[in-house]
Amino acid sequence: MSLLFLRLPLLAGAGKRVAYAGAILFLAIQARAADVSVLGVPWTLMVGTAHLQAGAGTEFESPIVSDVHLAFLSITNTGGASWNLRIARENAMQWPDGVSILLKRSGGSGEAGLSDGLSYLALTSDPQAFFSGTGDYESVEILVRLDGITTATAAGLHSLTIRYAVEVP
Amino acid sequence: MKHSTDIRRLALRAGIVAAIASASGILHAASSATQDVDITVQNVNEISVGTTVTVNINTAVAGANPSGSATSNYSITTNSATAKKITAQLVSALTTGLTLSVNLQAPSTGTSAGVTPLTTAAVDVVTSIDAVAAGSLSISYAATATVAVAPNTYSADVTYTVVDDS
Repeated sequence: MSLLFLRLPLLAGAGKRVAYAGAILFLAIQARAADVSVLGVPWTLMVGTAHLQAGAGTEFESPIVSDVHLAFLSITNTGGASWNLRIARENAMQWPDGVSILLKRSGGSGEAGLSDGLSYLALTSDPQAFFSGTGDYESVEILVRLDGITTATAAGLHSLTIRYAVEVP
Repeated sequence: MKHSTDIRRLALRAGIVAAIASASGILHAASSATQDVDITVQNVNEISVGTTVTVNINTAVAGANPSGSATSNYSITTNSATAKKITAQLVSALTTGLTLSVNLQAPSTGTSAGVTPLTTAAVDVVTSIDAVAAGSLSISYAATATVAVAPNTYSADVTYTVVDDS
């Protein structure tokens, strides 16, 4: 924003109309900005014997976890505008085949007015529409489900990054 | 004519403002945040066996030692990337004159050693077990007693262990 203010005086020679156009453009830009932040990072899970369906002779539970708190999202600086939140996974080169992470929002009392996002959505490398809303939301709870871990899943550490992106159409 | 030039200049400079704003990131309507997810899958090598088995040594063929048999079952889950095996051993030595052997059914990924006499030293009973979850696999017990063994009830504890097959 400061960069824009610094540039405006350079346009003074073009007359008031330029300055007005710049101001209008600036205001329009300001109205279309929004920020998303994540509270509750990172998320870790240890999968072991306790996650077997019924001890020796049985597979891991599927899902391993469901409806478990993952994070709170804060969507701010919307200026009352409508926005869309998209999610994608990154840095998942070593992620085991067949194992899925799915997200949904909790639908809690602080989420009135939001649309979509109440059914689990599997993360993919391509950004997908998750949910949308209008105006600021301080605390949207995100829940996680983990599917697909079996005895064929290699033991060890598996990591990925979830990217949350808020877009103002 | 001058009016038209002014409009073009206005449009051009408005475009410059937009370009500057875009380059500075102000025009970006999207903001994003990231969250790392770490999942650790632990090594799981679990085995369980059925309840206490009673082997009645009450069958005899003339000229041979009396014998008896019984069956039980076991279950195994392993997610190991390297082959595992099951060993079996007696916790303590049997009374002199008694023998006990086992024959374990292998899971789909393993190989049974067949009928194997038990001692207090660990012996392989199933080998080459890859990642698998299998339940209700059979264990066949066979016992013999020489005629010198007095009729009585004798106990034997067998320990089954999942270890690396190397």
